Amino acid sequence: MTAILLAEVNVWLDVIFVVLEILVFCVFFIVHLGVSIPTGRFKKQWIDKQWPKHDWAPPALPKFIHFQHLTMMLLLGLSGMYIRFPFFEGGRTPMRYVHYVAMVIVGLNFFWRLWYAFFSKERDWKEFAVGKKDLATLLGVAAYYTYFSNNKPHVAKYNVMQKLAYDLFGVLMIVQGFTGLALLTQPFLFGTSPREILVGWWLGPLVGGTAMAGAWVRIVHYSVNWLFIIVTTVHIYLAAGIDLPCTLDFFGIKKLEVDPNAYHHDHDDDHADAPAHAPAVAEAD
Amino acid sequence: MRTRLAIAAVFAALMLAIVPGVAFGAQSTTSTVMPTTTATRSVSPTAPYALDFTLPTESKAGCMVCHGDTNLTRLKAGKTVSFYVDGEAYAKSIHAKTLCVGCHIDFAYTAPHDGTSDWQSTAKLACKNCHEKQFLSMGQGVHRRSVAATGAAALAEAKKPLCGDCHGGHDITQITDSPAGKAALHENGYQICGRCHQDYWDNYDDYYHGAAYKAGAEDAPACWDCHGWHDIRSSKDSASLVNKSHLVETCGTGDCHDQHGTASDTFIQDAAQMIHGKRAVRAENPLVVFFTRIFDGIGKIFGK
Repeated sequence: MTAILLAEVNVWLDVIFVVLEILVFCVFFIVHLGVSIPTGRFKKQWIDKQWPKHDWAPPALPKFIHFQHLTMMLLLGLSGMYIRFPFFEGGRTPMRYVHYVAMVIVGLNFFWRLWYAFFSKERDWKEFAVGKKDLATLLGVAAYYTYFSNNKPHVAKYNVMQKLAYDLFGVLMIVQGFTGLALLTQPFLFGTSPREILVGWWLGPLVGGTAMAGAWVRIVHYSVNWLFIIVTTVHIYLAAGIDLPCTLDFFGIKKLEVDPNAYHHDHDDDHADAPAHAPAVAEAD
Repeated sequence: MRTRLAIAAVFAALMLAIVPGVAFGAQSTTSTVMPTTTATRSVSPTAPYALDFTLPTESKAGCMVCHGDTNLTRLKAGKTVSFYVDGEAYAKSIHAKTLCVGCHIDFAYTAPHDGTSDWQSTAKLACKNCHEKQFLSMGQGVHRRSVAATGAAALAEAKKPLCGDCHGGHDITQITDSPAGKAALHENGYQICGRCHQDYWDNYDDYYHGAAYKAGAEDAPACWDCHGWHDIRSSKDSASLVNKSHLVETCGTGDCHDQHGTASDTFIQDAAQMIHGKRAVRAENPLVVFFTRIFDGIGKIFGK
């Protein structure tokens, strides 16, 4: 291990993730959107207004939760980036508090969502579960998004790539919560810090001590932060570009038109395998 | 007759005791009164002031007659130099009760002042008369001036800082037992160290130390928090706080990396290199080099 390894790894991460984010942005907002013009999808959606139909509109509570979750995630990203790259004077302590408060709210959201998914009356965890049936449609969905096919296979409320993306968000939140807590060095329990409790005893001996473990955990925390930014960039593009009415409804700009027979008549888009009993379709990724 | 003599003796004794007391008391009072004679500028800005009398020095008032004037400037080597002393800042400083001559010990008590003496160095070094311990400590460090040096070496020695260069002058703040003073000092890294050690100031920009410090983070270390202060030494000196042999204890000091001795050798070796080394690592990163060239090329196309 060279003495300058930490600096090199950190600088590489800065550069790679900035480049990756720019690439992802260009691939989706320029290339993908651009290709939608000759393939006719752009005209169908943005000019002919043929957006996906829905037999259900999200009620107020999920919309509120989504909106404040988005706000908190933005605050977490902003304050986290400030802590690493202080881009204005005198903000370290306030931004740390912003980070802590947003972290607590996002944590509460996350646990509430887990409860909602597994223990509430609605318990919708199955809508996010990826089964064999979903995996069988993976190539078909990928082909649709990459313009190799006009047929988007549907077997549930969310398509397989949506499910994978939403599940990935959940996994990333767990990793981010764990690594974030492991950055805290203040004595917490019997004089030991969260860092010592969470990583010091097992990762410390592997990498050269608890402080070193903290340095590597910070690298993971920072990387996951970028993964959130990148996945959210794609999410924003697909939400607005594939299902604008649903996005507008989510932000209370324009109410979504609900069609109870959304799945009972043909789509121009040839949504194959959409079962008659499918609860709803949320096209936005 | 005896009675008259006794009364006369008592009266004489009283006069002997009271009169000098009244006289000296009057003198000490008048010494703090602002003199009625004011300094007037002569025709040339480089010529002496039209002033020729013995200045009162037992208070600041006498000096401030001239030095309290914001227009008190002189031309020196083509530059306008101000000799104004901010009385309010002085009054708020830890040395508010110290007389001017307490530090300006070579003051000639006459005006115009003798411009040939190195009065600035004298003033900046006068601290040693009261702060001997700190002065002796400074003598152990790399900022110690060698008086034996000659030629170019003497010039280099002359550039080394004296007490006042780092601590300031008339507005000097209290540091000991003063959180506000410590906070004010903490913000002053560039003035104290950076303006002489510009390269180290520039490359002190890693994420959580330098960049944060420069953005005003209260808990980010100032230069002296790692390097030490009066007896500051070269990092190559084994006694230096930032010598490899002391980094673990230096970084593990106080609230920094004091997690039950978790500032291990491995951590220190990696992390300490980043503190002044990130800029160099970044400059050598192939992707950074690549994009820098591209942006430079684009800049040239647009004539920037």
